[in-house]
Amino acid sequence: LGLTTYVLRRLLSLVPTFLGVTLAVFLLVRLIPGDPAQLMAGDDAPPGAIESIRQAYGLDRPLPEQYLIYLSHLVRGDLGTSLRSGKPVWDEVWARYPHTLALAAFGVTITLLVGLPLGIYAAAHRGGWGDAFVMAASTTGISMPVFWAGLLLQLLFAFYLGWFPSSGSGGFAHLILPGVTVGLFSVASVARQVRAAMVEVLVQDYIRTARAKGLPQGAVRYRHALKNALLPTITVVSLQFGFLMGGAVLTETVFAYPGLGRYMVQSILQRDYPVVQSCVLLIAVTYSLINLTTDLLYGAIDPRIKYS
Amino acid sequence: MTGTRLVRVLTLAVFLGLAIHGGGPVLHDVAEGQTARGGTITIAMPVDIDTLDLHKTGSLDTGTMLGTMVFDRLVELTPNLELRPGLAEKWEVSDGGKTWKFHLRKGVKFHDGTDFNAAAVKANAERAVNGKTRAGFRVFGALDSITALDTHTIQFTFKSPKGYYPMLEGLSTYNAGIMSPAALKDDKTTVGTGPFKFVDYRAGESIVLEANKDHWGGKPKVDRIVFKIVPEAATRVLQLEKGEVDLAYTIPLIEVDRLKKNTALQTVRTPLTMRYFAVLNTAKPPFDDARVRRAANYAVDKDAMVKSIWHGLVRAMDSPMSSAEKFYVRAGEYKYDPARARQLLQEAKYDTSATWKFFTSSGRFDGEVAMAEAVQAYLAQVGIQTKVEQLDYGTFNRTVLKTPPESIPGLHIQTWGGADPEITTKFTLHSGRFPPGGNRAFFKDPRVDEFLDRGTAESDFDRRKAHYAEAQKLIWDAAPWIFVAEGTLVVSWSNQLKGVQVLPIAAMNLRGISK
Repeated sequence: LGLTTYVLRRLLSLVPTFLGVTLAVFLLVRLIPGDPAQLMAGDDAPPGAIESIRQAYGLDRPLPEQYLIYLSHLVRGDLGTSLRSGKPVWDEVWARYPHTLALAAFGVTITLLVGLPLGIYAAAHRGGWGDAFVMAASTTGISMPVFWAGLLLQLLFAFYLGWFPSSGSGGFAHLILPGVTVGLFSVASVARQVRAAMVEVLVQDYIRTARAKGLPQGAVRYRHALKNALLPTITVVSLQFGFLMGGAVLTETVFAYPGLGRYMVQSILQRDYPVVQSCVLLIAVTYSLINLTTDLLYGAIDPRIKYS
Repeated sequence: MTGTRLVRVLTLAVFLGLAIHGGGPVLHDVAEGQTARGGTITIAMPVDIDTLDLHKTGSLDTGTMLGTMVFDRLVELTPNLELRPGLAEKWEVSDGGKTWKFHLRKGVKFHDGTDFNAAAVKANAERAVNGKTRAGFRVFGALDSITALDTHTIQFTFKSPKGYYPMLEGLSTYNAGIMSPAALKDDKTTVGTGPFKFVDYRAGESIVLEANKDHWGGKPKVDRIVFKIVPEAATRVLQLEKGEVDLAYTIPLIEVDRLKKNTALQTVRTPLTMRYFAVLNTAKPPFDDARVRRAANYAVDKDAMVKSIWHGLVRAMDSPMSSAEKFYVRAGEYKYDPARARQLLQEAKYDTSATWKFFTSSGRFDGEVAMAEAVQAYLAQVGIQTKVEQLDYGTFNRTVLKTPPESIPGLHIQTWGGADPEITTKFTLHSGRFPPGGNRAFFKDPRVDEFLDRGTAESDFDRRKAHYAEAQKLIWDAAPWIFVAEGTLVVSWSNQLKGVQVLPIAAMNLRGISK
């Protein structure tokens, strides 16, 4: 029961957060210099054209009024109409959001599958060749610009070897190269994070006790050490997930992947206010839910953490 | 120690990987990728379409790809920028250019099976005007009434006279494509009368078109066309070399030499009516003084810029119009001469201590920011100090498109083209087109206005050309811009492809394409 109340309370507390997000984004997009009506009318618009577009889309009304209209539509589930395409924002966003979610989820999976074992290995062989190699590789991974890493992967695996499609979306095969690209950075940071946490834990007294009582190496490492090293790692991974929800723009560009990131950047450049507002709100919602899940995971892993 | 060394080795390995890429002829098995496609042609497009609504689109890519293929216009533009009948077979102008009567092609059907007729044209024009669309602004401004005289004759009446060529050119633009009135309410599809039907659009990814076998102009030679949206130029080029796509456009100029050596490809450079120039605000000091403006033109070494920024693939401007325009005449030359520039500045008592803001956006054309930086450096050499500020296009537009003239700062990079001098020159340099129109130099010369107005009204080609020749010379001497270079569009396609037409307005016509 305690947990359910906790979750409900957390969910409820998200409402003011989202309200704050809508207001902040609403104001921010309007603070950027630039005029959607001007961009829609085009460089060759005759006098009066810009004004009439502004009226048609209600952009000439006072800001508080525009915000209230936006909110009243939002609570009814209406995200508005894209200024650029004339289609409902919901349709536009829904065409891209699943792609973004799939890419982020796959990226995080790779991160965990590769980053976790690498970090554990490096910590266990601290100071050795293997450790040096993992650390060097992760330094490279972190320092390599994403678009460049993406181009290299594309060149090798799509164009030379022909193992994976070079661009677009479709099946799982389309996910692999962009997924590895976004994963590369987080694999590196997770590996380093896990290594640091494990190194700290492995010198603790209870580990020595575990070893002294004759537990096999694996049991010491995974059951005793890893569990305690995992908390900060979960935080890093959930942050990466959130980051990938909105931050895979470069990867999307290189692989012509139809995600939300590139669409959002285009919409910002076009000052497509309703689209930018909806995308940011959607990302905020996803991010908050990931955060909540993370907090719940803490409790599952560490019984000392109680929710109240 | 070992760690550092490993990093070095790894870095080296990664760089070698890149070197192989930059190295040269590495991608060979082109034929392999092309065998299974049959009647489908795949095209790599640099940007996503912005909307399926042709009346509203502001994107050249949407207009020329989706627009040209799926729709017909009353009047069509040839690759030589000449006008020929489209959905209108002939037309009559009366009342000094106020009344336009179009006789429409009979027996044409939209892809949804409905009839193309005068009522459809009327519905399109009314929507374009009332829906506040670009088509409404560009073509049907000052419209008084639209009357369907019979099922296949439509008459437009305007409040003020429309120039013969400007009106027809307007009707040939992609915004004026005729859409099926029955399908206008459905935002998931788009229906025209053109040689290809719209089948599918996946946002950010692809557009699929299918041949319209009943097209009045004849059956298309391919079954399907797939436009793949590939924003990264390097990826577009690789996909083309590998045979994943049959045609790619907006090829970076730096790749042209290498692609030209590839015998499986045709790499074609088309000079554009679009020019690259820096707008000087002629309405306020220091550029209200023609001597300062001329000095700025003498100060800039265009030929050197053409070589270093554009790899010698564009042509330096020698007239306010591009040589790709029908009405172009060579107007003169501002040969690189810093001494002369300094002398002119001295005569004008130019204050060399002032610094002017110099705005540019980025990515509108290959080398835009490099151009701004080069011009800045050349101007600095003769004592005109400027500070380049690079802005995203929306902010840039907001900054340089202001009224009154006093509020517009310094100078800015601009690019502008079109199919007719009405757009390329009158819109940018006639005093009746001050912002929000295109005359951002606030250039005002009654003689230039007069020649441009005569050009608008004239329907005889040679006489029109004579008027524009005068205007070009006057503008060149008055130097409202720093004239730099004429644009170019590079398109590359598989040798097996036939019928690719590239227009000097940075557009393509692929209606007759085959493989």
